[in-house]
Amino acid sequence: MREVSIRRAETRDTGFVVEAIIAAEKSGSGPLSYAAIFDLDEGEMARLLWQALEEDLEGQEVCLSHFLIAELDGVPAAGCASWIEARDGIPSGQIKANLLFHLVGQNVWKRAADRLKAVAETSIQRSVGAAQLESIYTKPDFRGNGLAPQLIEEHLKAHRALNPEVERAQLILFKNNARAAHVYRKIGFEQIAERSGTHPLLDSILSCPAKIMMEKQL
Amino acid sequence: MQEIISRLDGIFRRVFEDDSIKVRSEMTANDVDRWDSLSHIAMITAVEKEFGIKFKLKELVTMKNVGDLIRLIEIKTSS
Repeated sequence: MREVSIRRAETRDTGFVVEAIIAAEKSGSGPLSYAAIFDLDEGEMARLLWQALEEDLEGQEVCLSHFLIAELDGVPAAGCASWIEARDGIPSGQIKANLLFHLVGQNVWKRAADRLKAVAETSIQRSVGAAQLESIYTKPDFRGNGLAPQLIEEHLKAHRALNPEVERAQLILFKNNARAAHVYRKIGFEQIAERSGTHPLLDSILSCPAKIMMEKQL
Repeated sequence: MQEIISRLDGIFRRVFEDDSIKVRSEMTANDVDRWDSLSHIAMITAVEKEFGIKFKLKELVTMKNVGDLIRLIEIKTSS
């Protein structure tokens, strides 16, 4: 039996967390949406995500301290971020937009305006006060060990203990990610929303022009 | 403060495409139909241009409502 340990992410995990965010955004073999939106290559985008994680802004997914890391035999093997949506009254999308705007600057943001609008067509609103799960990622070599469900359960356990008022957990994924949806269904999540975009730019930005939200009562 | 509100009225009406918007201190993104993460950045850049100021990231991510925005504008334009 391989030994699994789960712990809060630390600064030394930044590289792994960047890998997790990029892999989750690509959702298999699709484009890296952040890079496609801002017209950056993957290396530039990785550096930008690293900077974003260094800011450690709570209340949105690109925040190092929101990540739990699962280690298998002492090696980081899986990661997942979680936070309570708009706990301080500010939606996660707004915090993340402020962060990315700050990092890429006004010119890059302006050039990305059409692509940002396209992606917004697929945006599903997160419920205020609900636990959110994002960037759920297991390194390919470590798949099949049930690490993602363990990470999710650990996050939910922490939310139940620290935020008993939280009644539900939500996650958003690409509609074509059937394998992940199957895993989430097995641990009690059900689809509650779907949103598709028709913007012609979407095919080059996202791995699928439709997203679903799944929810679990706590 | 009234002058700031009146200038914000113009910005909000233009950015959020609603001529009936009247800015209030307690107003948040939930109160304005077209206030999403993208239009939020458009609003912030329009406010910076209008008042000749620049917000820091930490200021932006702690701005909970329009009242916070007004207070920040007051501080930055008076210094």
